Amino acid sequence: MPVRRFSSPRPGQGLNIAYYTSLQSADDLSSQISSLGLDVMKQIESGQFKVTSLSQLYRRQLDSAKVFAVLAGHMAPLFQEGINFVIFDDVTPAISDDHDSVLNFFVRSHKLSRLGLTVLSSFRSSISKRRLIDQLRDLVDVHLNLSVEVQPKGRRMEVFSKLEVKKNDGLLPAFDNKVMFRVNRRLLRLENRSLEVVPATELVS
Amino acid sequence: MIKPFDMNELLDTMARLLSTGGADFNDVAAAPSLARITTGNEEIDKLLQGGIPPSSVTLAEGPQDSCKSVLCQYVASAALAQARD
Repeated sequence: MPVRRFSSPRPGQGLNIAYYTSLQSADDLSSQISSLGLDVMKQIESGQFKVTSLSQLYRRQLDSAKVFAVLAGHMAPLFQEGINFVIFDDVTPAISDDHDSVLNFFVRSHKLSRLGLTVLSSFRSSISKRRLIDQLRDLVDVHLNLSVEVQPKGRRMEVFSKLEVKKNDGLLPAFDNKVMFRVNRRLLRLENRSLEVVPATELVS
Repeated sequence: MIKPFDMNELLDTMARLLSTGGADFNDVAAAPSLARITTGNEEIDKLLQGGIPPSSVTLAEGPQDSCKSVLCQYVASAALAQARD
């Protein structure tokens, strides 16, 4: 009888991702990711990184409830395909004044997450959506708020992104929870990465 | 043969657990913990105490050009690399 080796699953082992993009195609996403110094082509080919374009769905201009029902309907059977991480980048075109549909979508995401799925959803926010964001913060485990910061540097103005953790692991962080970063294409050539965290000292004009 | 799902049995089990003070949490602690999913950036991971928690829902929101897509793409790429290592 052949000997079979059993081992505990390693953290991260068997991670398969479904990525829903508002870009036109997997190729478009892949080239955008390449421009950041990252490469996912092999994983797309192997099926470990499954890309679905939402552009056609959004173009049909269905009502918000229908679009979110389609997205939620897509998520449920992903387990059977071995997917355990779903990224929606992004759901902005599906959001209307009918906030119930987006709230329902996050409720369904939450239920699936308790079965083992990890979900990351992004959308473009605005001041008019503050109430919606407050409601969503109650539903999610992690809330990341991104904003654009412009800082003077000598005679020039530099643009950064600021990421603030508003909620982590179901808890509201008590202190220092912000980081500034920028996409630095020069780093791509030098270090094969492009996301550069900007130290706070550099931001003092 | 697969036993069909029995709601009464589930309710009985729940009632038994409640009457005995619940499940033994030592068993839960002994279960292997899942690794957090790295964002691909050390500083952001630090803020998140290691990255995105598994089996969770994360909302990333911000105005146009605030790098939401960049963040999503970094997370995806880093998660795949984490799975490969």
